[in-house]
Amino acid sequence: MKIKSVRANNRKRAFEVRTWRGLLPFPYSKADPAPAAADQIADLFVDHELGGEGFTYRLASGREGSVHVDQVLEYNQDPAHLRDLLLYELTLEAQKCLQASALSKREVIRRLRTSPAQLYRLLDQTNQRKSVDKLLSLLQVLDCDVELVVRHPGDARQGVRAGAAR
Amino acid sequence: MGKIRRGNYVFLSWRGDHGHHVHVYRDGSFVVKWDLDNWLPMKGRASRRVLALIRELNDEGRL
Repeated sequence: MKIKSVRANNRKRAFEVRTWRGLLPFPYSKADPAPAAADQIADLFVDHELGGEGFTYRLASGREGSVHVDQVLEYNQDPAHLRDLLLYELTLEAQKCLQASALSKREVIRRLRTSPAQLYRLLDQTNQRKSVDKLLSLLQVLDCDVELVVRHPGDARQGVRAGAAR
Repeated sequence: MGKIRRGNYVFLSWRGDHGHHVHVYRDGSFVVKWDLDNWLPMKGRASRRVLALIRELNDEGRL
């Protein structure tokens, strides 16, 4: 995701990152090095060396830091970003389950009622254009139990965790 | 964390709640997002040269 613009809000002590999804805050405290009253931001820009997917800032002391838009999305708990991470983690689990499974790939394909190309697409962790639904079907075929834990905002730890176990 | 330039590539790594990753760019274009915990690409493809550079930087403790 490209960053349209970024600005420093010293009152809120946060960077304000504008993307097509809107304005996303990113607190100074999460950045490394963190801007401080004694070491303020001297320069801040969308970094085209990072394909416009990050921003770089320079502090008065000369120290420099860069922040990727994924960090901003993770901080803001962006649903699409978290879905991609969940998909990636489930794919890694499916790969492990397939390695440990006694089933041949041909048998998995038969049980899934799909094509070899679709199975390889599901097992490709770089492919983010597949559904969680299909991955869950694959894990079921591989005899893996999938546990989804949904935590509510009031809980100490937030977020959705997924894991698979044989 | 600052970006690192090496071998005509730009590397930006960060450790989040969901693992430790490095993003690689060349000439302002995205190359790969590499998962340093599982040593796998998360997005894009890494050439042998990029992988060698990631390994080198990781061994130096710069990622």
